Amino acid sequence: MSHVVEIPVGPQHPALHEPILFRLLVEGERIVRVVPSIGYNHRGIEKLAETNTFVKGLYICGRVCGICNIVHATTYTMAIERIQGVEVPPRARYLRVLVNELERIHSHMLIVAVMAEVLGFESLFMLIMRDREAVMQLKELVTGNRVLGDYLIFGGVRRDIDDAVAHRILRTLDHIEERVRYYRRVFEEDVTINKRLRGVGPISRAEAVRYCLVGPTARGSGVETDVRAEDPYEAYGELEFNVVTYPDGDSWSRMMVRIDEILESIEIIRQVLKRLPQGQAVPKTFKRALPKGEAIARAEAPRGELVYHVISDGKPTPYRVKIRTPSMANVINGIVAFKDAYIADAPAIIASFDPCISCMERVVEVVDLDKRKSTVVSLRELAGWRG
Amino acid sequence: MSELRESLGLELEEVGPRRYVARVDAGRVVEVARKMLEATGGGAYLANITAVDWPDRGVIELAYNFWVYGGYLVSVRVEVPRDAAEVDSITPVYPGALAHELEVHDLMGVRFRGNEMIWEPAFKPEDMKGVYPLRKR
Repeated sequence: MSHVVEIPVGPQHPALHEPILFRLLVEGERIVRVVPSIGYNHRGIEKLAETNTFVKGLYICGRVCGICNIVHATTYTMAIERIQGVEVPPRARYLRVLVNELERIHSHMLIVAVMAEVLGFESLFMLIMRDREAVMQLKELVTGNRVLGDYLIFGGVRRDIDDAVAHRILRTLDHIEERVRYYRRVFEEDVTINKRLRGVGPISRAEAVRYCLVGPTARGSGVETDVRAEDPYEAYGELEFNVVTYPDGDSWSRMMVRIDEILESIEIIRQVLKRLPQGQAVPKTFKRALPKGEAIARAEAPRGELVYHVISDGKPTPYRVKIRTPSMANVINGIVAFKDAYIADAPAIIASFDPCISCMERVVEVVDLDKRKSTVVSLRELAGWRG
Repeated sequence: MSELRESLGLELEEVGPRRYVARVDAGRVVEVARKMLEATGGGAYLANITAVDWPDRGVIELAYNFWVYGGYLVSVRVEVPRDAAEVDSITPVYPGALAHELEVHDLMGVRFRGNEMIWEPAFKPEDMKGVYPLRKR
């Protein structure tokens, strides 16, 4: 006799970036269906942008996401500059790439650390977070802030860098590269990590396309897509890098894509600092008004393709700002990966989408639908972790 | 590009580097989505749906932005009347359209025929059922 039990995972946690509830319907230990419940933190940013000027919109958009604020500001700025027809000086375009790649490195390191913690490796989590802090400091050195950079402005960037800063970035990245190569070996060779991630939550290539998945989640299923390479923006068209793909589509592949991308990003930053053009990067003034027009700007955020569709009717405020974040596509549509998975694998699958979750530790309630009894267990217990 | 133009059977207007716009009747949206998937051999996905309210014209414009891997963005534009905002769901072709249709339905009040998985309110608070905040008035 079938006995379906509903396990709500989520939604609230003080450290959770995007509170979300996954209602797992399980039969025995197997998940038969997942229903995501969203909207706990909807802030109406698109509407807010419509009621503020284009310049204020830059700061609103920079606050959509704490981890990847630079890429939000970059994409919004690109859309505005396209409508204005403004050319960005080469030095500013290279510096924008620099901060975007620093952001990708620390974002990917964060999810690799979180995944380590979900799998029960607390020390590994701490070690990766310690190394990540060095990257946050580099971001502070360049933008003035560890987290919210607010580094961009229409037509350029807000601060330039000098040789001392460039030297410190290169020196720190040498250290980071060595550490990331070590973590790559851990994820590749460790028996427990392999058992917990390989073959877990598989998504085929065809499914990744039809379910409109983006970024490392799609690349982990063998889809060769990367906005930086396919639709080059800023200085990406002048830099050499590889689009990392893995064929298997499991949680392990999605993590390996991110680890390999950190190494690619380090190479990109080295090229940027080597080829950094001379000239002005910080504009003395910038245009605040926009003519009538629209632009669809795309950028590769750490979690995947980010889309900004901006429409201007010539007034001081935008007519419409549509933001499609990568997590929106990956988290809601990623439910395809849960089919027939074990309950204990759910935390690993959720983390493998990098759904902006800075800490996976939270309480879940197990409700027996037939007996109407409920018990509370932590996600760690659910994952089978014995601390 | 010309091959795709032929197999899609759409009038594609170039609006920028790697950006194309096609305007079609709202009734053709599923057919266009199917062609987009098949003509590219599974090489295009739905990046997003932008819904824009134009109260003066009495329509809501939906921009289905498809990205064709390796190349260009095809923005398929359809218009639906504001007072009877309804269009066929493309989830039978692209199940991943769920996330986008859900958002447009919740915030702009466009009904997607055939999408049984949509619920309301999804993004809005409980007491905002039937209120569509992204509409201009």
